[in-house]
Amino acid sequence: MTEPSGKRILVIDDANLVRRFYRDALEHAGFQVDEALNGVEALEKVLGAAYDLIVVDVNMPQMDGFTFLETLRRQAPPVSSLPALVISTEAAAHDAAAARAAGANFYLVKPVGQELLVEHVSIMCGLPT
Amino acid sequence: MNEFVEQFVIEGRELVAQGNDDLLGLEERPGDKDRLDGAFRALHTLKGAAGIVDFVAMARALHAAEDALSAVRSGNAPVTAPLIGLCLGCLDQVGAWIDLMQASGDIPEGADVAADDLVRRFTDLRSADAKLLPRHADPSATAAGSSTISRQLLEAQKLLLAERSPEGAAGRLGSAGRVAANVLRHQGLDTTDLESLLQTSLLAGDAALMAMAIDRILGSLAEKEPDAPGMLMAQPPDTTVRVDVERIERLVRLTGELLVAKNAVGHTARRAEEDVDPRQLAVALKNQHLLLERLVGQLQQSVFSLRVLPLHRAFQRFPRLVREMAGSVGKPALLVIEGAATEADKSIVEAIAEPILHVLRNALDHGIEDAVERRAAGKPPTATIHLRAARQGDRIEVAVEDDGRGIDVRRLRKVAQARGVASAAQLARMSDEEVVELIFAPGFSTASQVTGLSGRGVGMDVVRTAVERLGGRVSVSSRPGVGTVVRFSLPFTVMMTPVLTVEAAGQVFGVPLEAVVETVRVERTAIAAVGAAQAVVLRNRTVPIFDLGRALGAASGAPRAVANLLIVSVGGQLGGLEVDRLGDRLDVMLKAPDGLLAGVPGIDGTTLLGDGRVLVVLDLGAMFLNVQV
Repeated sequence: MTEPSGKRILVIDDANLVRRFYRDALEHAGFQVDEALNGVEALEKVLGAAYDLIVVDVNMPQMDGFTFLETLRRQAPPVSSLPALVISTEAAAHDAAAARAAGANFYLVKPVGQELLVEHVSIMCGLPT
Repeated sequence: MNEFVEQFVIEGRELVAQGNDDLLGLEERPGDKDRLDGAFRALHTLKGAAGIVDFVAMARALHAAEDALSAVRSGNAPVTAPLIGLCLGCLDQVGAWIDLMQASGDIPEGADVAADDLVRRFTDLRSADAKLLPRHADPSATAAGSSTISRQLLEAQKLLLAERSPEGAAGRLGSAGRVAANVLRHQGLDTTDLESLLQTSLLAGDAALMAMAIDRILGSLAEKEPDAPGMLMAQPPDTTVRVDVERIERLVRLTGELLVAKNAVGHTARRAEEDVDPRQLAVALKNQHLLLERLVGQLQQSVFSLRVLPLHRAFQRFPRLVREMAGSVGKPALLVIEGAATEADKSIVEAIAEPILHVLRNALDHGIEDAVERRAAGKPPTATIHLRAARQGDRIEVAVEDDGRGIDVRRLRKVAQARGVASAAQLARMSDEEVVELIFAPGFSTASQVTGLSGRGVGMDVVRTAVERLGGRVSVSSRPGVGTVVRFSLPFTVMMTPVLTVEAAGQVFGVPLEAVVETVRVERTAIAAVGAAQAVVLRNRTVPIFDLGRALGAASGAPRAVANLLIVSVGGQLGGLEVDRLGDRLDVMLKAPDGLLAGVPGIDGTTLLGDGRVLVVLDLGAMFLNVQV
């Protein structure tokens, strides 16, 4: 395990396996990871704690990723300006523009390997090379 | 033989050779990005060509190979011997197919089996890699991946900033700013001024300014990138252009508007068949013509804008090359680049690098003195070469200015006569300025000694020929002991200028974004009168202020308590332009002022806005000419 980066990430995905996979990779790289199962739960979390980055899925029950992002961007700062990385399924690859419109800072298409995820998250959190 | 097939056979062989070469190079040095890109390009172009001649099986096999290299490029797969071997095998098969095509003049039969086999082997390879990859990848590949990802992240933030919806705009701006600042930190770039630019744009809530800051970060990222040393010639010309999605969307929008206008003309034509007042028809036709004229004009602009690149593409390698060249002649020199964001047609950007490099080489070789001589002349031991680019009306002006010894005109006269470039009588009639221009004459070189840099018998005449071929001009001026300036004046066929719109005295103007350094709000009390002018002290620098509203003769109400200042850089000097309001960032095609506006000082050009209004773009140089503090 790498030494703690001091950065806190919120992973939002309804699939247990996916969250587990991301958490494993991120914790291994020294990030502190919280999880949420959908947009509603995520919104509670971001309003209650300071995060450095959100990693969010698109298709989720209750509140999907895009609605969550739109809601997030309408909050008061600093919550509104939380950087967000959207990870979506291959079938929805054309959704990059929609993700951007919702306020996503970057968009990756599944499958995203652990290494690729950690690399994106590290850069987006401003960790040195 | 079908002419396409004929062409394919010729090109295909070249591409196979190039691909082989690059793959072998890549195997030797797995981190070599140029080789990787070269191999990828060869496969990609071959695939495209296969598609054109309808050789589906070949395209399929090449697609699999391209995918495999694409995974390497994105940092998702390592360069391995099996991978290279399989790619080479694929190219061998392609070569064999090309031979068959040349013999028979047609697509070989039974190619599917071989193609399927290749595709399967690529798939197997990938699943093997996937098992290997997670924990250990080639560190050099990761490093390349990190800067690629950084660049992609920055580009994505620019796109995010271009989103128009007012809902969540502040959140988008804030998050884009955080990501951009984090990329800066991650890359360990010298961040202070870029960070403050980001901060300024955040405080001002100005997405255009932030997009500009991100452009600068991208610029310094590119400078930091280790480039292969050496000559520029090694770079093959790009056959593709990366296009901003926004520009494509504009094309789509315009096409839609054109369709509507076309239908309107059809409608008028039908009315003409009926018994309608010809005057009414004339009015309708005239309006439709105006609309079509505007739309077709915009369409033309938009199409041109697809081919536009920043000069940065040509300039980015110069700092490193100058450093190397300076080292090799033992004269410390610094290259300062200004205006690298100036855009020009792709063909101009690509063709101008070589001539400028030649002039830089000349400056280091002949113009700049060594440190001892410089010290004796009371100059700093490190020489400075300024490379400036700017748009002037419908041309691009590039100047290379050194602070060296200048051109020795007396010696030039002697050499010109000795080499038969001009006769004694001709020279006697020529002014010093005219004599200096003789350095562009064919076969003219004053180097008394051949050096490794410029004295290889290639003179400035080559530069002139290259520039004139582009429809440009080159001139030189020099002051003894002070330095030499070589000026290029180039057309751009097409050029989009980014402008920031500002409002003053109820009118909207454009300011070249290139010149904008930052936007600030200062208390009126901080503005002091200096003689007849006004100035403000900004970070220990006195900045003269030009009040646009007052200059336009706006009703002189009480000045607002807080002044909106656009800090601009004009000819290396800072100036503050006071405006009522800041507007949007636009990319416009600048036209030289004509008609009533021709010759009016302070106007750089005009452009037609989407709604048909004319936007006057200000010539800041002329404005601040009389506002020195």
